[in-house]
Amino acid sequence: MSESSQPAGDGNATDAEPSLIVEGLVVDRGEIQVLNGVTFSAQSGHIMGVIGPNGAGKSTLFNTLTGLIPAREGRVFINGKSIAESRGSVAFVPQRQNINWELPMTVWDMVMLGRTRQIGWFRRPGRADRDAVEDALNQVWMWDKRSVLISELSGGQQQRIFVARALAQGVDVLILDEAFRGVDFTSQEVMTLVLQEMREAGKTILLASHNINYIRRLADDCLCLNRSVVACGPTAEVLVPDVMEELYRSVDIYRAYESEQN
Amino acid sequence: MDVISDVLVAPFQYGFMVRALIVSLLVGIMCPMLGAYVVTKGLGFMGDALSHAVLPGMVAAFLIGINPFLGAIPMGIAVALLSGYLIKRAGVSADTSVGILFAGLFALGVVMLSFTRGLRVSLEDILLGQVLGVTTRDVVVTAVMAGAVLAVLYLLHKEFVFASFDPAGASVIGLPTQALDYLLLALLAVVIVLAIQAVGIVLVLAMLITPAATSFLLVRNFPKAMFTGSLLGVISAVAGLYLSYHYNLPSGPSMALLATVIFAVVVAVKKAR
Repeated sequence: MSESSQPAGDGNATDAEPSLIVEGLVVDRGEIQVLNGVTFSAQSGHIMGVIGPNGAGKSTLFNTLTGLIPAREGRVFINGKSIAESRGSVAFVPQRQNINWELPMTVWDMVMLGRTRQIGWFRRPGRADRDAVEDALNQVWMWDKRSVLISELSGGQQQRIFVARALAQGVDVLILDEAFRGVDFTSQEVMTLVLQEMREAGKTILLASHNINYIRRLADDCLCLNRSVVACGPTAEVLVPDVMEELYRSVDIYRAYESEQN
Repeated sequence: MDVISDVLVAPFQYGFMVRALIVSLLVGIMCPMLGAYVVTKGLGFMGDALSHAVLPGMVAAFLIGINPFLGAIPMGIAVALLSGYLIKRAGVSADTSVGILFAGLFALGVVMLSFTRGLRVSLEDILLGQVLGVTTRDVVVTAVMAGAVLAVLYLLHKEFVFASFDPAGASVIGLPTQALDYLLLALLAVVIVLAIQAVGIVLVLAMLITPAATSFLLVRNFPKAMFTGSLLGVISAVAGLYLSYHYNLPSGPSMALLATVIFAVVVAVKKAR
């Protein structure tokens, strides 16, 4: 990777080196090509909002960046490393938790899972791991609930625990997919605070949301995605009527085209 | 002689009872350890299918004249890996493809069994268990294999739990979740083969899921549930062995029945409260 490979970013105003670089990403889901050449970059110490209509490929993009599904074409650099090399430095808080509720798991044990890599194979948690879990739980205001089962928490509290796990993991990149949807007020405020703290700490945060006002309030940059990048840049420059119209109208055209095909 | 020594100690003047006790203890410990995963991951059908599918391997070993473990354990691991592959591949019809394959293998095993005339093999013992007939070598193999499975379960505990609880999250953090799933199935196959001695092919499921399911009603913590399940498994296995000795009952069904009664009592007490 070299400096010459500075893609898209719409000439980012900041001088910081982008920590996440995505170049020409093409991803299929079954027979359907969901992402057609997605190129953008995200800065460390920035929160990047990701918006787009339903079916725009936000979840597919996130699943690809976290290594859950493979890309057919394109490259991803996370602090100069590939997705495979940067496992452990990326955390994902998905839209709906696809976890096994049958397995009883306390808040404490759940956050400790984030330390799995640091603890290492065949080993048990040490002092540093317990401290990291305690700090993470305090940061999301859930220390008091450490002995409670995850399944007994509210949806918002569960999302806070997933964020806490990412904190304990000590990630460079945090990706949240509609993590705030249907979440109680306290949880939303707490997670907003945590995201701001992580931004201060120089992390890279990608946040998908349907709530444009929330993106406007929190995100430094914004990626407008509809199977490819419609626009990407500082939030104030991107969230303008022209772009929004293109982003959401083009999908109507696409839908019309698709229904004609069927 | 008082009642205690008559009832509890007297049986063990016989070598076969000592061997049966050791195997019962080990099966009682191991089954619920794996059973905790079987119950939480919904692998009950898989466990039942696996226990039936190892029959051709066992019978082949009888026919060649080697220790049945040498046929059953490799066979169990092979079908466990194959079924893991079928589950990942087949999607919606996973149950069907696993069912077809394993019922077919069981049928093959029963047919093969008809070629063992003249050998001392009984279908009833294989189906329902005959722990009173285990040899010293069986005891040694069981102890070694149980120790190996326990060691792997201990060493990879946090990885197995992570991959079972949140497969996607475990994958994102870089755990080889597929390999862990396959390994767990292989361990399951080994434990099933060990348990067949005590409770037979048909009743393995009872030892695998019943004490584990009971323990999840009693404790709400995964490692504690593993240990509680083992305790219940040991109680069922050892008490079942005593029942079979004193009242001349079949040992495997006695153990399975006790495990079921304990489950029913726990459910009833929980409901009553």
